[in-house]
Amino acid sequence: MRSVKFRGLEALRRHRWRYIAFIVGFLLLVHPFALLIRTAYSLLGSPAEPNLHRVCFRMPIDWLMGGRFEMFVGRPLNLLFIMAVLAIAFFFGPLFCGWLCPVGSLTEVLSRQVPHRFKIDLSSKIDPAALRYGFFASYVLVAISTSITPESPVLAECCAPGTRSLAQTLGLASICCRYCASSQLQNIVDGAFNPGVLEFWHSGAILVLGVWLVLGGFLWQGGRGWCLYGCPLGALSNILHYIGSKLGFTYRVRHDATRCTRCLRCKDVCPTWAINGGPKKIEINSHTCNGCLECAKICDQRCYSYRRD
Amino acid sequence: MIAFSIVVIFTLGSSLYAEIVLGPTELVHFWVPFPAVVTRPVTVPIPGGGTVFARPILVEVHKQGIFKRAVNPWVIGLSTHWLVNVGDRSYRIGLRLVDTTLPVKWEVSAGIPWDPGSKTFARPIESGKTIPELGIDWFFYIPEDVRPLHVWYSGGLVVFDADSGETLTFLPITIRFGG
Repeated sequence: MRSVKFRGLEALRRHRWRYIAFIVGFLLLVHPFALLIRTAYSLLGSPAEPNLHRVCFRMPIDWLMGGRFEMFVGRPLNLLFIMAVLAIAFFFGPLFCGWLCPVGSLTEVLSRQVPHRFKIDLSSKIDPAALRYGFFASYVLVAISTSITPESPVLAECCAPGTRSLAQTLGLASICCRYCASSQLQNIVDGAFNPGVLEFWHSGAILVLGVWLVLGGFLWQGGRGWCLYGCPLGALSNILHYIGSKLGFTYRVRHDATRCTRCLRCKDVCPTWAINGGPKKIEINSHTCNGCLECAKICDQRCYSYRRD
Repeated sequence: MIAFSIVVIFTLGSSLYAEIVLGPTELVHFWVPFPAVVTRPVTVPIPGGGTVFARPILVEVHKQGIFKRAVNPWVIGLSTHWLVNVGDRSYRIGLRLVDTTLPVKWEVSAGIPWDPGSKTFARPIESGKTIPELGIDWFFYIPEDVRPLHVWYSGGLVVFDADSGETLTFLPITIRFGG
């Protein structure tokens, strides 16, 4: 089954509405278009430049986990956006990730142009949820320790008491902004219109380009390597989706085993390695499924559906 | 569990790298309270609650990460998202870099109007408040004749009262190459 070629045009024909959604997501969030942010800023009367940075996928999670709620003051768009994405994830699945996110959709589309033999495919060797939650646990740990400032007399010897956070004492720093794929996407797009903005790349940005665009993008089976490893919003969305899926009244992708011929074409097209299964049983991993419905589109037997219980 | 543990170690390693290399040397981010005296690390209370930590900025270029050194070692970036009024009245503020013989590019985006000519904000910031949606990047371009020097820049950022011209905060900034 792995010999089937899944190239960009085939995928586009199969699931064109999703690719239209990718373009819509790009137009809504990425400067110079950023239509959603432009509209919000217009309503708020803000002259700030509308760009992808304004609906950051990382900082609000950092603030929420670190208990630094005051950081949302003056940033209503950050709060509204993150709450909308998470609420949708809870009730309908991580649809933002699967249908609109420009960061993940770009690498998924790019990855489809690369022949399978050149790609990293560990889907049968590791549980992708381990990647996702290993990162997320570390992200939360650092966010919490960054917000704790011990009043230690030892620390007072080198600086004023309370000025070093627990994270700094442990030699850690936030992994929020310095490893941000959204910023790099925005830089690349801005650079297409104004090459001057590409003069400055820091090491974190270059590392992210390598992991997000190359290793986790072009060369990753499904092109969602960054989503599976480095996105805290994606991880939190799937935690909520998993909880929601246990409650019975929320939407999720389902598989009807009675129709299934075990061709496993669904497994091949799943960008987030969410379909587990061999010849006997197919399971959908709620910890990584982003509701893209590629599985439903490829399945001739109509085994997959997106519905409530 | 093995994959989970490896990912945790890798991620905390990247956090360590951020603390040791990226934070102090590459696109350094800092908070700026005003009015305040920042000649040493200080924690300043914010009216209405909370504190802001500020310190003189020291960028040690020789400690930059290998990737930046390979790609653009001669552009040094500084950044702030937080200009906080810790005084007891509102101020309309402006910004100025002092002792700059280097070419510096300013990139400013804020939730209140900014005049790039006078480098002032159009509206006052109330006591205890910050400038909303703020992002300021300063890019210092290091000319060839400066590169052999030990200290590339020794000056600072001045936050001034745009109506009276009074200096509210001076934040020392040093960019140096070598210990």
